[in-house]
Amino acid sequence: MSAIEINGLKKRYGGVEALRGVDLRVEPGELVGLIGPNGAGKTTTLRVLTGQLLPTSGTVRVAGVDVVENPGEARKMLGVVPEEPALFAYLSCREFLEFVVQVRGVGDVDRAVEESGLGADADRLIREYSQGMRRKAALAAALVAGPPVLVLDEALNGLDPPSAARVKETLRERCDGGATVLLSTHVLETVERVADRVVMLAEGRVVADLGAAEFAGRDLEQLFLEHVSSLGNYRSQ
Amino acid sequence: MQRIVFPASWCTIGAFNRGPQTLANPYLNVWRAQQRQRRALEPVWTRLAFLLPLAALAVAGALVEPVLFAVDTWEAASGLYLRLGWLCCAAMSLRTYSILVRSPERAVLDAHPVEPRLLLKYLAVRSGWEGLPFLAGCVVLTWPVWAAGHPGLARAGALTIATGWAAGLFLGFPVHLGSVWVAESPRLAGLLEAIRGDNPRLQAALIYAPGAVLALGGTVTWLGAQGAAGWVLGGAGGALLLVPVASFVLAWGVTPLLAQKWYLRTSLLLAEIDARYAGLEDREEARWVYLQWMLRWMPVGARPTILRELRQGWRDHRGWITGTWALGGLAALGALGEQGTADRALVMASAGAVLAGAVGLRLEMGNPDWLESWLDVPRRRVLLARGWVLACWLQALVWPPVLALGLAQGWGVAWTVGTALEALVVVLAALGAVCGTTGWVSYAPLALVVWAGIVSG
Repeated sequence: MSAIEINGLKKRYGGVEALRGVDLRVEPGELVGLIGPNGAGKTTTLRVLTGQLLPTSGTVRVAGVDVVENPGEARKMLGVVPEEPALFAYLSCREFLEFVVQVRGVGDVDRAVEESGLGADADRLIREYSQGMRRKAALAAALVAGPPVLVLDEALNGLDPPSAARVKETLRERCDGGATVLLSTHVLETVERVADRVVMLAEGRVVADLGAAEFAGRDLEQLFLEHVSSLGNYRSQ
Repeated sequence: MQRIVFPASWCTIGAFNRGPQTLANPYLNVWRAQQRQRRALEPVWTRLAFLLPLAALAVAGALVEPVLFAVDTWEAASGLYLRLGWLCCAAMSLRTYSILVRSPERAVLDAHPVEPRLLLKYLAVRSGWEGLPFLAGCVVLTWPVWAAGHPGLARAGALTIATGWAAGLFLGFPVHLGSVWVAESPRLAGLLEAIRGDNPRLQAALIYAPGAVLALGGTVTWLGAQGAAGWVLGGAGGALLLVPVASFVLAWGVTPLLAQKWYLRTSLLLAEIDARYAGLEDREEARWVYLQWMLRWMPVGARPTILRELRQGWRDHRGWITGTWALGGLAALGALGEQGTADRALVMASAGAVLAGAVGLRLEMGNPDWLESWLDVPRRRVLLARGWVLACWLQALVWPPVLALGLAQGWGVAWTVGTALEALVVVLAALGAVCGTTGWVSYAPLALVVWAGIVSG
């Protein structure tokens, strides 16, 4: 059973077709980077995957659970860092993590605090956090209960280099422990360093699905431009 | 009910160290912890700020006593208190909608599994707690009747108001959850399409849900009022009080079952609705807003600020503004009746003006401090522009009843009422602009007392 299974996913907003039939399968223990130009459909794909948006057609399963038919069960399998994390402003990060542990019924707060790199700041109120610290808090909340599938939308944006390095290391460790990570980002360097696979999305569909052997030692930016430049909307860019 | 297992270290954490008996509901605990930590950062006086509107209501109640509360029979009092009960029901219906459906907390909770039963208990406790000042405010309005020597009428009135308040609370949750089912029901798609107006079809069910709560809750409140009169004042009908109690128990019994399926589904529905709203944006309105034409007669230097207030107010708060105008329409209808027409028109229109003037507070809240500081527009100019715009919007509450009065009662009466309403408009526009930084704490009591002064005068 795949950790993530997306088949023929289409999403239409009024007259705009955001996703035109995305197919993606991610196996347990894989760390997959999802990249693509602005408006490619990355965030829409992740929102459908995490049960935040209804698909127009197609199926999406997380650890075998259909996210549309059974959103409650699917949420238990998922740790999510949305593009714009929402947090309780008048809790400290540690208190927020304890809340997450309680609603999920399992978790290790100290470990999540350490992995996110928040340190002593975990005891300050979230309302006092910078954007980077908020992202760390959201990441800690996604990690704290050790869900089998992590879906991260631009999770490393705004992190300082040591924190970003620590998070990459953590994600790698989680994958080695059997978890699955789908990481959407604009930062190709991040994907190059940690991903087992890179999936390129453009104009609402997968235009390339590269294994580590296919992009290792090559310039990912160049590869990306090669795949994207063949598409109508990007030819002149 | 499933109890969530929590780690042993839980009890040692500062914000939650209230002992294990309070730990069964994580949502309630988090809310309490946030409340505590928010209060710790706020000045002490803000905790007692709710007393000011209550005191103002008491004063206003005394002022309008000859007009509104000169009742000595239940037949006369019931009309008044039934309306207050319905008002409470409507307020709690909107409160349950905003906390269950459109709460900002949904974005936080959506990233995690949810235990709907525990969440509902929390939402109900929170809605009830946050709605208590509204109940207290309406119950305060029974004291002029009490003070006039009719404690029985006041007690029955208070019971009627409380029934309306509880109806909005207990019926609100199942109806709003049921509206999600209605929104997605293929059988009802045609009906929703017919009544959706400019909104996406899915939104139609959510829009009408508070009205459905009011219809159901209004009926229950009416029965409760009959029961209250029978029970407090003696006579038949006291058993009717059991109807509201039974309906609340039934509603609360059904709610968890509905939540199990429809709470999570609501997030998906809202995302669809918001996406479709983006597609429905009115291009004409994106360029032009109500009253924009008047700019050509404004001083050149003030035009940008007035335009900003017009645009921001109309686009962000159009529902609020036009909703209050409905009271102007009702006032006009009241003016066309047979008895007490001028008083009735004045009470309705001025109450609408008090609500509409509050848009000034919301305009202030919507303006980030850094923007004001960066734009460097003199504060006086901003307040004048806001006051002027508010006064213009409020005209829709003045002219319909005045014209109706003129036609039905003669222009002398219309002139008197119109002058009183225009005086109120000036004061409320000024209050709405000036009270921006202190908010409801200052606006509500001042506006109430001014309203009472105008109505009683």
